[in-house]
Amino acid sequence: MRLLSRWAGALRQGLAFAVLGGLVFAMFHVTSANLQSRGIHSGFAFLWEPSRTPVADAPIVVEAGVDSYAKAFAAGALNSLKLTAAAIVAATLIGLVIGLGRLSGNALARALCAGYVEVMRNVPVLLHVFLWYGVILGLPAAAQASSWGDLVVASNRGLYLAWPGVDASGSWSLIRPVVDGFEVKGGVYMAPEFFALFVGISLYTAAFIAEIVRAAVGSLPRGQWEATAALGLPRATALRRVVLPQALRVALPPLTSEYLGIFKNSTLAVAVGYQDFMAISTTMLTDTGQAVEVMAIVMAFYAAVSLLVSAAMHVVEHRNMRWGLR
Amino acid sequence: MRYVASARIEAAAPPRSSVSRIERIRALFFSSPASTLATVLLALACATLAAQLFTWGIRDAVFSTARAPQTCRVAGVGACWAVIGEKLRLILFGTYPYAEQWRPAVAMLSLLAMYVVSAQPRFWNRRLPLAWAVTLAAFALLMFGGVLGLSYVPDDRWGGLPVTLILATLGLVAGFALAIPLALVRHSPGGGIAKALVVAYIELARSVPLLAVLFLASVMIPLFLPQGMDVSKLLRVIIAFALFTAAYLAEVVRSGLMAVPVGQRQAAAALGLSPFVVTTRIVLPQALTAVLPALVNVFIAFFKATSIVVVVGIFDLMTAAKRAAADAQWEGFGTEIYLFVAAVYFVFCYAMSWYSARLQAARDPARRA
Amino acid sequence: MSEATVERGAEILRVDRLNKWYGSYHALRDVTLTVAVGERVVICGPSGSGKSSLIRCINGIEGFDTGTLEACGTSLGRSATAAQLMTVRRRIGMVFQEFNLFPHLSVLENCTLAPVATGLLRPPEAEVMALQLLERVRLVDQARKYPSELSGGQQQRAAIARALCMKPRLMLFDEPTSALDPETVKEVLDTIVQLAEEGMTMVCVSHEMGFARQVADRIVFMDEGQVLEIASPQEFFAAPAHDRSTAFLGSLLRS
Repeated sequence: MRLLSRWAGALRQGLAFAVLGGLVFAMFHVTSANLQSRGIHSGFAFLWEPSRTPVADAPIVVEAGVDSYAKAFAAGALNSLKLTAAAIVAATLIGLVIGLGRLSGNALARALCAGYVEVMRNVPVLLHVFLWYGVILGLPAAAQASSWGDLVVASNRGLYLAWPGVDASGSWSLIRPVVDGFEVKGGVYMAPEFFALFVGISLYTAAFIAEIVRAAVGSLPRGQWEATAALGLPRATALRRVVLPQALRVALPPLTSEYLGIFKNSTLAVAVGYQDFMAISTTMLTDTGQAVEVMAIVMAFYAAVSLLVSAAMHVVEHRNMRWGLR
Repeated sequence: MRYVASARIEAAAPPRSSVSRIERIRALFFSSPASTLATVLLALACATLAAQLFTWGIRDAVFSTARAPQTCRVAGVGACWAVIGEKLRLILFGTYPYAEQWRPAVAMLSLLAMYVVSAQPRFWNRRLPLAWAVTLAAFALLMFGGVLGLSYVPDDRWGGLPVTLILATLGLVAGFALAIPLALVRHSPGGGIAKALVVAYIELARSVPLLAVLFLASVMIPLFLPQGMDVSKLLRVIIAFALFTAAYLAEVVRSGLMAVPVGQRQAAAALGLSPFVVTTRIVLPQALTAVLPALVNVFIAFFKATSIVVVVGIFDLMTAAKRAAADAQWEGFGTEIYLFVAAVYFVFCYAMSWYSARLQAARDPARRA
Repeated sequence: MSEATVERGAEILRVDRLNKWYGSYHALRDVTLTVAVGERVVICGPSGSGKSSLIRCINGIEGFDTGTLEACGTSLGRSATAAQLMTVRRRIGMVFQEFNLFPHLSVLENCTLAPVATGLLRPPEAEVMALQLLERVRLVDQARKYPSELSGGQQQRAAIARALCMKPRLMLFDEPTSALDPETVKEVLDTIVQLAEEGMTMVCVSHEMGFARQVADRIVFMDEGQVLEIASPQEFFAAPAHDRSTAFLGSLLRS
């Protein structure tokens, strides 16, 4: 009887496999027929052909007609990662402050932080981005741009930030942006699109991180607080040395989830014209028409990064178990 | 030094709070030097911000649409709320024919009414799915028309809030329908190709951005279909949405399944009930009840996510905002429009998160919020 | 009150007609108690009698509603400022039923955290003192280990060392052995007895009557929030004066 059920199981699996295989084959057949009828070639060979569209604002520059599509993808990937990394840092810092503010003894701080969280997280992140994009585009032109303490020059063409670098005399110093006629010289340039995405995504995600921090700190056993009180530890030390180290370990899985969310939200770059991986892929799609290959590359990129980060987080969580923490 | 109590002290009522109002305020805002400093700085910052917002948004603002936008361009004028009055129909109904706009209005109201009804546990019975089917059919009827003397309006003329609502609703209903079998397969013991496929699908769908899935659907669905067949853009997006949300919902349902004690299934099986009945009448209801707040939270997240369709050219609430803001006649007043639309999203999302919080509080009153 | 002026026999804790409510529940009723320097007081009573609430009021971890409480020269109560609370807590050490060690720090780091952070000692001195105290509680070999690697008895002894690192004048023990396996109870009680013999003033909430008999100068019996009897161990165990005390001791002997 058991042998029969095992055979039945194997048969069921085989059938499922066959059905699936048949479906995939049918889809493949229809798709290639469609592609052929539209005169589109298959294969990944297009990656090494010169790109028709340049990529200007990226860590590596891609020239049209010279550099390959593969290089364009790489530029897009770097842009995506640049935006993601910057937003992760900003969102974490802001979220930490707001999350702790919700636990503050001061009632005004508590109320303001709660208000921030409610307002920010109930508005779609794309709307945040559009709002900030409108703000920066509404700034005066470079010639009339205002400068905040010589550190930041904000114009409708973008932001110029003071940054350490090598100046004219050859030594390291803080290079400040200076308005020169219709241009701004010096400093690190931040495009309006990057600014809108960076600020919008950071402020939005900070609200969620604040809630994660609040929940993590709240999940700490009361005894830990009582022990710090009984020892006479000042509140700041108690937070810094006892509460936060434990809370942040508890918060690690949901935090990682939020960070991956930032990475996925970086694709909103398409909506404001920032050349991230997704934006470049869509350009590529219209340039080459090789939809299947381009979509496969896109999915592979985002899936690979996400799954790698999730796996790394699982490893770290395992190592944290040695304290006997949940 | 020996002491013996002569009599037992009876429990007394607590004294009425001797803490005066001043002491209470002191404890809340001025309990320590740091707290006092924080209160002063924050209050100053808030007051400044509030004053500036008041000046821009109310005192110097233009509210009337008469002779706007010229009235808004006068120097020293603050917010131009007149643009909202002007663009309201676009935001609410898109490019739906003007005379027929009562139809999307009624359709939206009936949908919202169904949501309010569905939120209350006393209506959770067998007739609810039927009521939903009727409502959705009525929605389609009103929006499409073509029958009962209503003129036909194709879905590429729909726009604004109704599209956002129907996207969210259908995307989630279809996603939920798909999520339950996915969760059941993943939760089932043992391996097998079905489970491996389901796991692969869920993990993949959860690790790619929604935008990628939307592009995938928009671009690839026509390629997958035999020549001559085509699917409307809106339907493609709904399919993409459903496929995407199904993965997230499946994980939530799966955590609900894991929360149902194993004994439930065993007891039901011992009663002689078939596996199908056990799953649908015993396990699933308990699993879903357990994770109801989490399901609502997923709904809120995807309601917000519908705004992404602006990128693929579907005319929803966000697209309406963008088009309104892009009107050359009203250039420079995009912020007012976006703020208004943000308020609309906020009202919907806040209401839903209030509901979710109430659900959580009802089932666990002892839990700290 | 500096270290030098505290002589044996002086008052270190004075509780006068203290009342505490949890909502409408009258948890502590007119509690009056004085403890002198060098005295060892054991508080016992059935569960729910308010023993833990009382001991937590002493270092301000919990507040009270009416009455006065003066500990180590500082008056506690509703009007106590954060600074006053901190001063009191640095002079009083507390050992909890659930140990409450910091799981992410080693035993040594648990001990040196407070003295260094409060400016009592510099890091090298703190480490020296911590190791000495760990030696006294016979844990010096486990100094670099983490709490999860220790047994319950070892963790509680580490908690005692941690409290002692702040050089307290008064030690509070809130049912220190109630969460331990019977085998490890003895090692912890021996540590506390050793502490008492070295002259530490202590208030201890405990069910361990053998320990009370051995170490206590006075036994305080509480029931339903009220102090019913205060007597020396000999008097209390041989001839309890209150009927409730008799009943309580009887139930202990039976169990």
